[in-house]
Amino acid sequence: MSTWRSKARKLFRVGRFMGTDAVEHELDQELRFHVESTIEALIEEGLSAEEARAEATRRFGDLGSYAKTLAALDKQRVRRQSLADRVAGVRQTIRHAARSLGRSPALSIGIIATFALGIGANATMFSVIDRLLLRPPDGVRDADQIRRVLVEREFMGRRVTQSAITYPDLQDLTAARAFEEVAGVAGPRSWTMGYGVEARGVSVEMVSGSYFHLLGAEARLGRLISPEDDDYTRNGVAVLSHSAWTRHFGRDPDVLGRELSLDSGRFIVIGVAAEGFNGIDLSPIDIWIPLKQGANLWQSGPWETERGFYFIEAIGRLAPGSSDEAAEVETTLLHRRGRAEDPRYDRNAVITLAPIQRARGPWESGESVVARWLGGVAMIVLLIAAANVANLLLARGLRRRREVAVRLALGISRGRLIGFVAAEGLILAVMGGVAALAVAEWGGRLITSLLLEDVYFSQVVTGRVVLFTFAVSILAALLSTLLPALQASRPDLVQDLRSGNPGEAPTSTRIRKGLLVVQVAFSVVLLVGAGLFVRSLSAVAQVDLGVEPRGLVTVSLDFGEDPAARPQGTVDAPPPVSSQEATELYQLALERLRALPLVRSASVSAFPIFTGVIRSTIRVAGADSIPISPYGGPYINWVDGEYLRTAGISLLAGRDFQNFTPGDAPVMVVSQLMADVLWPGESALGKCVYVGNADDPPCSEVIGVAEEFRRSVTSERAMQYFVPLSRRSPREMLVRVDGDAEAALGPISEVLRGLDPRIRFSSVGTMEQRLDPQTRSWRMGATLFSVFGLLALIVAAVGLYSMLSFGVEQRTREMGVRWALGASVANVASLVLGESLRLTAFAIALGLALSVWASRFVGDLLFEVSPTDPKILAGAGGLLMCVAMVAALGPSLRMARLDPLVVLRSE
Amino acid sequence: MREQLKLLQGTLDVLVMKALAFGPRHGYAVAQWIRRSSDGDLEIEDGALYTALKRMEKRRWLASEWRVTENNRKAKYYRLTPAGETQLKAHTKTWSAYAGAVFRVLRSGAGEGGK
Repeated sequence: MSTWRSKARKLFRVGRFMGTDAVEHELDQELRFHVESTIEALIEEGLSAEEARAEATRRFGDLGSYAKTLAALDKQRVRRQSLADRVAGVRQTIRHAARSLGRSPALSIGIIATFALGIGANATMFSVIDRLLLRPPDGVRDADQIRRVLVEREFMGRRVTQSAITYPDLQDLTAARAFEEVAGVAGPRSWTMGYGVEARGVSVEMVSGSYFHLLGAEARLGRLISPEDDDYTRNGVAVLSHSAWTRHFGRDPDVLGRELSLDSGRFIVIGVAAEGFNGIDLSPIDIWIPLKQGANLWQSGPWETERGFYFIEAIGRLAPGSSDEAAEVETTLLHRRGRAEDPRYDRNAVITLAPIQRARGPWESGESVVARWLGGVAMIVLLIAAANVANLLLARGLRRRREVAVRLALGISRGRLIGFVAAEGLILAVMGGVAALAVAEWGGRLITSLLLEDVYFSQVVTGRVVLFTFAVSILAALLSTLLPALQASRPDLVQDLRSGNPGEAPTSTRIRKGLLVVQVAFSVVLLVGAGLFVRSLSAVAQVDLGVEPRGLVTVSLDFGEDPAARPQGTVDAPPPVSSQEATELYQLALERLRALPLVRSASVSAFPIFTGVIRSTIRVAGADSIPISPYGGPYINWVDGEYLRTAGISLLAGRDFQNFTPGDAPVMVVSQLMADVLWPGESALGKCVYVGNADDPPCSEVIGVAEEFRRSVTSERAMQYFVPLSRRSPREMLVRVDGDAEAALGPISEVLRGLDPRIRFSSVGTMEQRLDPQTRSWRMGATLFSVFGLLALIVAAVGLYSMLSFGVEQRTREMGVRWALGASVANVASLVLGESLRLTAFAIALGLALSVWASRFVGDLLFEVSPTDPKILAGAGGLLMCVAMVAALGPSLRMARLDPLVVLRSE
Repeated sequence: MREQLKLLQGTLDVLVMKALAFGPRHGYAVAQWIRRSSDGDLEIEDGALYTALKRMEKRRWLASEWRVTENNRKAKYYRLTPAGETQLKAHTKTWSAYAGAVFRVLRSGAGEGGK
């Protein structure tokens, strides 16, 4: 029997074909059993061993080829199976983890909320940074090949980089071979569209015919502006942005062919740009018109031929294979050649190229710098959140130690255990990530509507934001589960299986304390940041511009009569409103507004406030020249008698123009700085200044000295003087109202609307609105730093609380013993409290050190606040210390109330 | 010849599944059952039988596990999975229909054709 068996084995050594693989070994065994069973059966039927073997072989068929086929089939099956097993394993782990999370819903929800806020902060900031800095404008094809063309040259003794060039300069650039295409764009300008009740302000950009083609923009409706529109002999054409089409035309598909009156020109709508397209910049555009057709309304002069009208920005699309360097060299040569005959122009002017994202060029806005900072801050919030989650998971892991130890003793692999913890973290982080998208949508809307009103956001949560959020969620899961997973996989089996409440391992305690220190320290940094920005903002808000912006409304009128309202038969464009008429209309408006009960006073000026001009002809009697002042100016503005009072510019000495009537001897009011510079140590009153060209008297007598005047929040005090408005026509009206300026906008617009058909449109706004952009970067910093700082504070407080509660739980027995040994309630409670406060104090010190180190980088972003302001540092530290005390109080009291007998008995 | 073989392969699957319909068996038992049930008329190479088993196992119509036989030897047992049972039902149905149709054609007389 054994002989045939060994022979059969030899014959059917399937393994010969298949090597030593486990699958092949199994197959070998299976077939061997089959053949041996066959032979045994045949022998029982009476065949000899030899015959039986031959018959079995015959019945099997071609063994060699079958063995190969079978092995291949088995291997395929096993491969498929192992993959399926792995998938099933992962699914099982995830199911397990989800169930385990479901068992402690409060903890899970807390962690998800922590993640949602931490990840949400990042998603929100990413969305903003992506829009301001990273993502090219929407609807632009191959934006990475498009460059802004900038000129670097010497101008008035300084090296400047400017984006504005003249039309002939643009023409020079079009010859560049390094560029596939070159386009020019000017604006945007705020123009009035339509007449009468339909009149509204729109933002209009003028573009060369190649603009849309260069950008690869697509039309939603009709066609876009093309090179044949570079022709002012043809009818004016206009392309609407999708948002303007929606807002002003209700997405009317019949808008094509409609005639628009823009400023004093007429333009026929030829198309609507695709949704989301806003050109190369982020300020919202309503309408595009051809440069050649629009610039005539804007520039009164030979802008097409002379190189003195700087109002166009150039962009170019790099030709395939050409580099930035090559394009810069070529365009520099073209630019210098074009300027060769201009003796005053810098011969060494250089063209430099910048990416299409304006903020990545030489002029990064305050907002985008702050946004980048806040992006880093959001990362810190996430770190704090992750540290907190890690701590919570660690604490829970410790509570579960016995369970884990039992499982390990039962033979579950450590890999599975780590996988389990990782799955828990992943589920929590991904759920947090989903919630974070909602946070980002909400937060993003808030930021864009409150802080970045004039940035065009087609969408807050874009695909890129979703991807980023997902990546951050994974990162958060990794950060927060790394330590808990390691802890779970390395338990002290013997210790943990023993009954009773084992003390916490010293390494684990150290890790958890470390995490807490990280949280608290980072929270301090954020609070310091918040403090610095809030202080900056309040410093900015306290800057005295010289006017009182609260309750002040600015009004400017746009004139022009609706041609349709003119009598039949007159086909010509209406004559422009003369300056005499304009003055009359402003006077009319003033009278009507003054009649409004809520208007306290109203006045007009020849220049909008803060924009007066420098007059080179000014001379002071008795002095050769005006001393050159580092402050700028002196700026002149022509104002009426009510102006200073209305604007809230108070007089330090003398009187204003209230009683001035045309024909009186000329007078002026100077700012205090101007008085100090021109007549140091003397009274300015009664001094004489020549304003006009002529030397002959009468000169203007200084009748008043006004308080300091600034032209913007961040600029130094300026020399400013006011003279009575007589011959010049007004350009702006200031109205001081009782109560809220915002509420007065409606009534004021209402009065102006039906006043006169020649008043086409009135722009009415509050002074605070106008000043708003100047303080925006600080407001953004203050708001978001505070939000993030508060978030960090809450998270850190929760972390501290849970850490202490857990510590109390773990050390109950120790405390019981101490107590039994005679320690008082106060002793025991202060032990817990003292320990936590020592830890917090250390963390706060660390955070303050970190803040001082980091402060050197934010100095430029702050306003009149030292980055190491001791009050702010102390405030942040003190606040955290208070929060730590409150967080520690609960657990300490709980400990103090424990009954030592119960504690000891429970052992 | 090739036609016949193909036909035989499809047939083999049904036969093997039928053999397993009564409970798990090892490959040798399946071969035995087919041989006996057909009174030895069906001559199937054992290699082809195992190919059918493995192929169906790969398709998850069958599942296998090692067990100990009555004679205390290790053998791989195959059983029908729920998917396999569905397959067996479907195959049995089509096979009966097919066989019935062929049978009717073969039985039909020449007279009918002349009508």
